[in-house]
Amino acid sequence: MSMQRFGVCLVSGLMLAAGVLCLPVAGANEVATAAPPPAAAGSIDSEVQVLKDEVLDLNRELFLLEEELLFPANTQVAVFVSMDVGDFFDLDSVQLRIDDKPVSNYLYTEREVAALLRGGVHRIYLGNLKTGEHELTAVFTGQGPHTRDYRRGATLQVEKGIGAKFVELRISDRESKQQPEFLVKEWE
Amino acid sequence: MRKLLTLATLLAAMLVQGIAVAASSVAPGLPAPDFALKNAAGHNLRLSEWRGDVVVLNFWARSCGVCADQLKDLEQLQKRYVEQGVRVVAVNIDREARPASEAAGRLQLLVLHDSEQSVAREYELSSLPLTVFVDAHGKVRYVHEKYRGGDAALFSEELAALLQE
Repeated sequence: MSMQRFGVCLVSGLMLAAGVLCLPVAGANEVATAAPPPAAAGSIDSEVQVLKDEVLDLNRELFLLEEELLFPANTQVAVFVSMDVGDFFDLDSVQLRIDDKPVSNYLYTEREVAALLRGGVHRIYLGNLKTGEHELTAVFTGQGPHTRDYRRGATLQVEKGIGAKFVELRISDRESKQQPEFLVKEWE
Repeated sequence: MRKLLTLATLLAAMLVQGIAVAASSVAPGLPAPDFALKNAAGHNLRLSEWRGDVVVLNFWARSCGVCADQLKDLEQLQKRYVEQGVRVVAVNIDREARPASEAAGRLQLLVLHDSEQSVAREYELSSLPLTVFVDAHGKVRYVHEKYRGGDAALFSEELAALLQE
């Protein structure tokens, strides 16, 4: 984000804050005098709408800014879960460990599994890692073929360099073995 | 300079959104912490998927005597408001699964099991029962600790007010 955008963000934030703080005072004055004519009321509505839109824009900018600050690109690690077909595996949860430390344990609802099967990708973890070697282990639980409880782990050694690291945990079907397959791979 | 600008922007945004810096993360006006737990049938259910409904979260345990009375009252409340989009969710925090599964069979309520008490910790549970009203936008609106006679009427009033919004 450029300095100019920061400046715009800051100024609009302060202006909006000032505007919101002033609203009750303005409202009190109106009550004390008389109800505004319909045309003025319409104008206030449109102003409120503009204000709402600006707040939403600001919120979006802040979200991006927060991510940039909390997870700078040179230490950032993001792990995603994706699913392909899913005939042999009904996903229940994924537990993620980095360097033997649990970092995420996510339970998937039916709706979330359906979204994954439609091609969705879920970011299960976003964090920071120092440069160097790290071990990433994912444990998948669910129901396998013949609705048997199924638990399988997959491990990947990752070399964290300078720049963000993206890892995908992919669940797919292995038709030849009639079994699910769990892959952990790095995005280039 | 950049950090200063960032800090100022964040503060301004907090003012704009009316976010109070509160000591507690579960307080009226704040977003209800999202979670997923299993029901008695073993299905995972997530709070955020009920956005649009008013959700009454009730934390209980078998050892809590008053919790059983409250669950019966909540069942009545659920029956009364179910058509209007109210979900009463009874979150059992016992380690073993039996109390939750028994309650699910006995009560016409959605019973979830928080065996590791991770959700209870997120909701800063300090006494039982704890009841949290979450509005259709996913924000905490009312928090009630313990349960006394007459609270059922208060709960009903609060639900009616939330449904009218």
